[in-house]
Amino acid sequence: MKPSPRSHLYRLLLVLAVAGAGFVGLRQLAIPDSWDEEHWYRGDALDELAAQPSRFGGNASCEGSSCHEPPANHKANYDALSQGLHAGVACESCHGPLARHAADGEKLDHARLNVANELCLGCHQELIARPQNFPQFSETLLYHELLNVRETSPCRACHNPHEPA
Amino acid sequence: MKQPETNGRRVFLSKLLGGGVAAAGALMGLRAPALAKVLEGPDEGFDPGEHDYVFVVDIQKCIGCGNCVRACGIENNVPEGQFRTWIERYVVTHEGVHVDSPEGGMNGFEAIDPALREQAINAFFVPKLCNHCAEAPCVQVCPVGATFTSPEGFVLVDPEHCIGCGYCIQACPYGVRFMNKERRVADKCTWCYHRIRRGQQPACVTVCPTGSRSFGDTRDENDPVAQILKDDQWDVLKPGMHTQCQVLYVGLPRVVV
Repeated sequence: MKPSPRSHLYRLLLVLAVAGAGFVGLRQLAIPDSWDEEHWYRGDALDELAAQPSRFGGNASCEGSSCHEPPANHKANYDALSQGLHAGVACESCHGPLARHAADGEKLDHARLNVANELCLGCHQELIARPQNFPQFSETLLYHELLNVRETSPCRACHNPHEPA
Repeated sequence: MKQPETNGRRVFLSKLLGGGVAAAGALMGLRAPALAKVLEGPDEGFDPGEHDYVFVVDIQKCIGCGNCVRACGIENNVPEGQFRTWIERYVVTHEGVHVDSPEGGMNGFEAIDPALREQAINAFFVPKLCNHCAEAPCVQVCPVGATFTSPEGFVLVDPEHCIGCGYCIQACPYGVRFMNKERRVADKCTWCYHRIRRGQQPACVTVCPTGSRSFGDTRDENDPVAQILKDDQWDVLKPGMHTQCQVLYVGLPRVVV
């Protein structure tokens, strides 16, 4: 039997059909199930990103808490802080992330601070770019001069970080 | 007669499977449900269509302490040496402008060179972060749709979908994007999307001691950021880029780029 005179066309059509089916199939595999055609993103990504755990709990976790009443002084420190000059400073600004501690009672080494002056100077070191009205450490301040306070002196000897003055 | 297997491969594999399931169950049980809700799960009652967020940076309040940079790194597991947010120190003189940002300001700033200090006519700190542009160039150039604008207006990166081509990093006019050297995908500030969904503030806002950074919903009239919009005394970085930044700067000197 002689081959059909149009067999080269049939073969071409077959190749095109296979290529087309392959393209559609691969495309289906490549597009994520939750793809948002209108806004062009993977819909599941939002909940996946939102599932990231929080490490900073914010002051809301400590507010009104009865934890660490005397002798641990936790509540006293919190109350003093929220009334004094450091009122806007969050617990975690100095003590580091405490979300797990507040939610779970996890013991945290980094929360216990034992600092002489580095922590205070982190904010109060005299720097030209700091706002003029922001209190900045100076050895030439009258009281500092009278008491011979140097930059290396322990601030806590006179100042209470929870109730600064 | 065939003896039942006691030490065969099949027995070993079935024991392995059983042990694995038991261990996984025990580990899941360790997580207190209350903790998981507060710290790990998204808030079910969150409606994305009801919010219109902006981030406000008050230049006149920033003291360059670096709390925000450290907190961001901890909260978001940012690799060492890379930054989702950072602080720049500007020192303006008649001869020119000096800008530095040692380690992104993570450990604060040292005193400047005394000669430079003599010449300084103005100096201030500028915190920087992703501007979450309403018309974001990074979203336009992403070839796979891995960086996108969420229904709430956050510009986010889908790390599972990103192919790491880096186009978005080149497209960002503000240089806030980087290639995460551990995950090998594009990374940037998310405004702590996971925290906002739970009703918390971004980590940097939480720890800022002077209130230089604030974040809020402009649709809520009681929100402090609504007052800033009312005062209408804010600027954005590079307004000529027409990207419609949603990070607003209060007291921004014109020299800042």
